[in-house]
Amino acid sequence: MSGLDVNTGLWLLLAVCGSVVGLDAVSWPQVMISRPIVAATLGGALLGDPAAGFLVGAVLEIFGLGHTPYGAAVYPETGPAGLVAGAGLASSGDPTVGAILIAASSGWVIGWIGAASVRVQRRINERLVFSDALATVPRRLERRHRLAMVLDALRGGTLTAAFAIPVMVLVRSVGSLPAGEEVTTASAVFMAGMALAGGVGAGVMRRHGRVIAFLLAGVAVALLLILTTHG
Amino acid sequence: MPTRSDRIASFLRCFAIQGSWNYRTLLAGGLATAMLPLLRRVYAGDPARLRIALERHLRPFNGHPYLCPMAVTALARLEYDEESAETIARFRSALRAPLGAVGDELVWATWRPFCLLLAILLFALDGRPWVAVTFFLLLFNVGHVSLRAWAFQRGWNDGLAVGQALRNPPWGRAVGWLTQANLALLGAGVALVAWMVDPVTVGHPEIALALAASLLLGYARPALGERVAAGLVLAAPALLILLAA
Amino acid sequence: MPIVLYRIDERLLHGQVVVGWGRRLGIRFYVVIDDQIAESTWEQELYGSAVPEGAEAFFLAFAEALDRLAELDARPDLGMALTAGTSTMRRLGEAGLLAEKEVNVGGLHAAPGRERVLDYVFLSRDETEDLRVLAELAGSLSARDLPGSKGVSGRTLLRTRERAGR
Repeated sequence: MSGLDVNTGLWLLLAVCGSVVGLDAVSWPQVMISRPIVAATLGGALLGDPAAGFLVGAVLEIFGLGHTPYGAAVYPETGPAGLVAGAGLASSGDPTVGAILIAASSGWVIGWIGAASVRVQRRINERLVFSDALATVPRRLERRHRLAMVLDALRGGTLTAAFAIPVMVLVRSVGSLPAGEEVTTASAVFMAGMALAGGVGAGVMRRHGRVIAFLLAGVAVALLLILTTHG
Repeated sequence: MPTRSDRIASFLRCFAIQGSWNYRTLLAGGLATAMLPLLRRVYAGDPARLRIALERHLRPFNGHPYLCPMAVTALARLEYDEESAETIARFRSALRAPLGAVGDELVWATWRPFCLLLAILLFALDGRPWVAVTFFLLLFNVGHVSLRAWAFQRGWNDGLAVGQALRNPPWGRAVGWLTQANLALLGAGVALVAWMVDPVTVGHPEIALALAASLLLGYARPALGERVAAGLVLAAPALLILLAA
Repeated sequence: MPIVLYRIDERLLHGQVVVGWGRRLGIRFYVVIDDQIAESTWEQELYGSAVPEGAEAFFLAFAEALDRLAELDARPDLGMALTAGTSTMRRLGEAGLLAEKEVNVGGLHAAPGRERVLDYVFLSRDETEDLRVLAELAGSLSARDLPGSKGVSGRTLLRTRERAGR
């Protein structure tokens, strides 16, 4: 295993992408490039493996299904987290199960750290735009509103810059562990967590009446698909 | 009367409506900023009244960001129609309810998961990541931008009466059947992602069964499921490192 | 006890309520207790459009609520009652209607005269006093924005408000 081939240029590029996807989630323009499948594919692509990025992004999506941004509710921030997870996994070369697992867990943790940074950002915004005095100078309101967005972009970039390298190192060192019993045990634990989170997402989507039949039908179709293609 | 370019400027600013989201006034900073191109026209040459209007709209406001263009134009319309301050204030607080509820339900709880899950399914079948990502971004944003445009248009046209448009929206009963589709897609998505990540582990019938049980447990007990899932996602890498060390 | 939750939220029916709580608890009817809204059709139309398909909304003036809450409480399906402020809820408590009920402080946002207690709860002195009374009269009192988030007990809420000063 060679050392990390991440130069300063690539690191900075990741940070710039992190600020773009960080800004997208809440501030501007909310076209959902901040979703894990998008951000992680981008992160993976920057390190040469977009498919690995998408895969870890898909795992993070399942974990995120139960979290919806209602009002002031707290939910994981997925842009920088997905980007770092995708880049981390792609940096390990051939993505082993251990590497996917570490990259996804890291993304999950960074998502919650991101959520904490969003809270800080919102308090700063409060200082920027909570004042009736702003009404006297409309241009000042416009400037402060823009400044809040610049800060949000910096927040996403900083988060990405801070975690990109550590996650790559972690994924590489653990991803190189030989496959075996340990990996299967850890993987089963992880998958159970993912299935639970998916179930929570289904529980959140459920409204009136019983829709569990649809959920089970989906599982059945997937099994059929797997069996027919990989029999 | 706001001109076409005022309206375009205002519509574009709607994309940054949450740009200064904060716990005190929520998205009011963005709302007021997006209203400014319209208000400047309505109160052209009268800075005192512009100021009074702006003060009103800097008070707390929240709603789904994609539906808030309706608030931007409906409130500007009320200003243009010279409605009383009392009416504007009451309309403003009543409008927050459906803009939040309808938008959260339609977009966050239904449309977005639908597009995401479809993209994941596409990736599982097709394997090309950029195809799935492009598909997701195009599909989702056709809905997203149309919704914003519809809301922006109706707000100005309907003013006080936007409640009717919200009660009978163009998407009709789509939320109901999309939710059913979502559950099926979700069931398939979880199974396929698990398979793509680790076919060996998932291939054990007893593990596959345990996963199905976990899925149902999460569905039946979301609050519990969320906590346990969080524990497991942390336990898995720890276990991996400990066992391998 | 079919009205399973009494919530104080100045936004009344909105996303957190109908999607966050409504779906999680399986709420089929909402009772909004508010004198002004009970008289205004366009406001009822707006608030009513926040209610998802398959659920009902009732808009009652306070006096009407005193008469009708028992009847609504006897419905077989689950309901949620909402007031925009603390004072209406306090009056419900003083009328003896909340003795076994769960009262939830969901959203009172920043305004002149209010002090921050939580991100989603800002209280004036009068409102604090209302909650103090409610803590005695209601079955339980706590603050929680969404069913999945951590609740804050009424006692902690009041203590935090005290520390914030006037």
